[in-house]
Parts: sequence; C-alpha cells; structure tokens
Amino acid sequence: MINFIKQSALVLILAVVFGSGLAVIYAWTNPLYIINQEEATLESIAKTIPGADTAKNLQTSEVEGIEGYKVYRVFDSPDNAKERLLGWAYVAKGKGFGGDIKLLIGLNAQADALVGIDVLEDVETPGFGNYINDEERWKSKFRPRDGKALSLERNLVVIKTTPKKSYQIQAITGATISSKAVVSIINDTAGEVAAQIKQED
Amino acid sequence: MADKSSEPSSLTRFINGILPENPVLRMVLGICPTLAVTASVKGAITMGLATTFVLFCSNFFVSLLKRFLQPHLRILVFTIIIATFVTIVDMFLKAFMYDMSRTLGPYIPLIIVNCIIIARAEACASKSRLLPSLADALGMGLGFTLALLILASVREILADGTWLNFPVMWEGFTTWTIMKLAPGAFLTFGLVVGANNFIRRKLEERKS
Repeated sequence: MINFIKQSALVLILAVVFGSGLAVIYAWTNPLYIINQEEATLESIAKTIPGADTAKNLQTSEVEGIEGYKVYRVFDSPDNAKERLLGWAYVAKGKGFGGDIKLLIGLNAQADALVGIDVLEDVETPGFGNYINDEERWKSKFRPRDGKALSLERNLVVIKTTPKKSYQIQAITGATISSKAVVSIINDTAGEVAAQIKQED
Repeated sequence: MADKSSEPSSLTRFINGILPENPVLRMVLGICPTLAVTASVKGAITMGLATTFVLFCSNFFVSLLKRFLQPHLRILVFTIIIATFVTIVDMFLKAFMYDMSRTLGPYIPLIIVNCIIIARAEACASKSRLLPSLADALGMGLGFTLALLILASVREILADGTWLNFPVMWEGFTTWTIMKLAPGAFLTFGLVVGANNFIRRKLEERKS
C-alpha cells in the first residue's frame, strides 16, 4: 500500500495542483465567456428582428415558463419611458448535413409570423451547406417580403425551382439537405413556441 | 540518460524544430490540426501559437519533473500536464477571443491528442535539461506554426482570394471552393511536403 502511494505520489500531487489551478482560471474566465455568449446572442437578435438593429436602447428579457426553448422578448424603450415590443426570438436546434444546426428564429410582436433567422452554430460543408449563413443566398428568404412576414399558419416547403407561393423556399443549389434541415427546424418548432408565447403573454 | 556531450545544444534544438526536423513537413506529426484548421490564415496562426504555448509549458514541466518520472506512469503524467494547459488555452480563447474559439471549435481541446506534444515530451523533455527542452519546444512550436501558415496561405488565397482577410488576388479571380474542403487540405499538404523534400534534396546535392 505504502509503495503504491509512493509510486503514484507524483500523479496525485500533479492532479491536485493542476486541478486547483484550473479551478482558479475557470472562475476568472468563465464569467467573461458567459458575457461573450450573451453578446453574441444579442448581436444575432439585432440582425434577426426587424427594427432591432436601429433601435435605441435595445433590450431583451428571457421569457420564463416556456418548456424546452430559450425564448427572448425583444423590446426597446426609445425615450426611457414606454417599452416598445419589437418581437420574439428563440433558439432551436436540429440535425443538419454535417452535424447539429443551432438557429435563432425571430417572430413578430404578435407571435404569428416569422420575421427572420440567424445561424448560431453549424458544421455544414463550406461552399455549399454553409451558405445557410449567407444573407443574400439564404437568410433573406425568411425576412418579410413586400412588407409581409411569413405566416406560421402553413408549414414552409423547400422547392428547387423559383417559388410562386409565399410559403415556398428555394433550396440552396447543391445543398438541398442543409436547406431542408433549416426549414424543418423552423416548421417543427415555430408553431409550438408561438402558441406558448401567446399563452404566457 | 543520454551522454551529456552528445546532447544537442539549445540553439541546435531550436533551429532543428523550425526546418530541418519540422514536425509537420519532416516528421509528419500533428496532421489532424494541420488538415483541419488551415482553411484560414488567422485560424492557422491561432492554432500554431496555442500549440506552441502548450508545448512550451509541457516541456517545461516534464523536464523539471524528469527525475521523478516512473517509467510506467510517465505517459499518465504527460497527459495530466498537457490536458491542463490545453484546458487553460481553451478557457482563454473562450473568454478573450470568442469568435476564434467558435471558428476553431473542437480542434482546441483536441490539442491534447496532438502527437507533436507527447513526442517532444518523450523524445526530448524527459531526457534533457530545462534550457534545451524549452528551446526545443519553441523551435518545434514555431516549425508547426510555420507549416500551418504555409498551408493556410495557399488554401486561403486560392479559396477566397484573400490573405488574412485582405484581398490579394485580382478582381474577377475565380475562387477555388475545393481548397476550403478536405480534399484541398490533402492536396496542399502533399504538394507542400513534396516541395520541401525537393528543395532539401537539391540543397544536399549542391553541398556534395
């Protein structure tokens, strides 16, 4: 037994010393990491909800009581007095072509239409699937067209030709699976989240 | 322990790592990050410097502790040391270089299994005094960074027409998407290793 401890003493001491060192560094850096994540989400929200990027004093608060999703209430208060509701944003995850895709999905103030999406995380193929990050090629398709936001009443459908109906979304060339993955994440979650928002609000 | 007189000096160790024994181009070690993170110059530099830091700290501790290393526990001790410093790098990037940390993703934690680091701990630091070990770590680290930089420069210029995000190609340059993907990494890697061997042979011929 003594011999055993003697032999492993170095490993034991190193584990304790390095472990404590890591704990100290973690305590120092982790709050910064959390701030970074929150800033990234806020930046993403500003890009997703119309009017949020130009809003003065943009604020978000997490909606409590919604199961399975992180939902943000997005509002601003231009003259510090009245709050103006801009919309809702929530985080949803699903399977893509290369791995999980994490989306930020924006809903309008009435929570009955889609106003935009942003990709928070993806590992799609560069040059094909990762064009889901591209504003012109992909994300713009989910923004309001001619002032009309995409209604949640109908599921979105991915097609390969030029869309004729508002609920049709043209796939990215060479990346049908990634395109379908994004749309199905929206279809699977938007109705459910919107219903819960209306209930909570 | 090796004979003291045959042990290479610190300066030789440092220079060896950069080109004559370059970990990537000559020893073909650490190929996973070499192929994975060389799509952009910025990512490659960050990865190279992060690995250099881990290598430096690992060689420092391994060399300090070499007298206490039990033969059957030595790999375990290496792993504890390496894993600690890789975790520190990971936490630092998340706190201070958040975007870069997201770009490099799992490849930062994967430095733990980068064989350059464990190879240097085994082949050099556990047998050498402190100073040559540190010189070896710096040389190997810079050699690794240099190799990543060469690969990433070729790939980023051809794939995006940019270098470190600055446009360097003429207007209307057709970007080669394949250079961003895995095949581009393999192609570039093979050509760079081949070019390095070719130049070496030519130099040796001239010498003799």
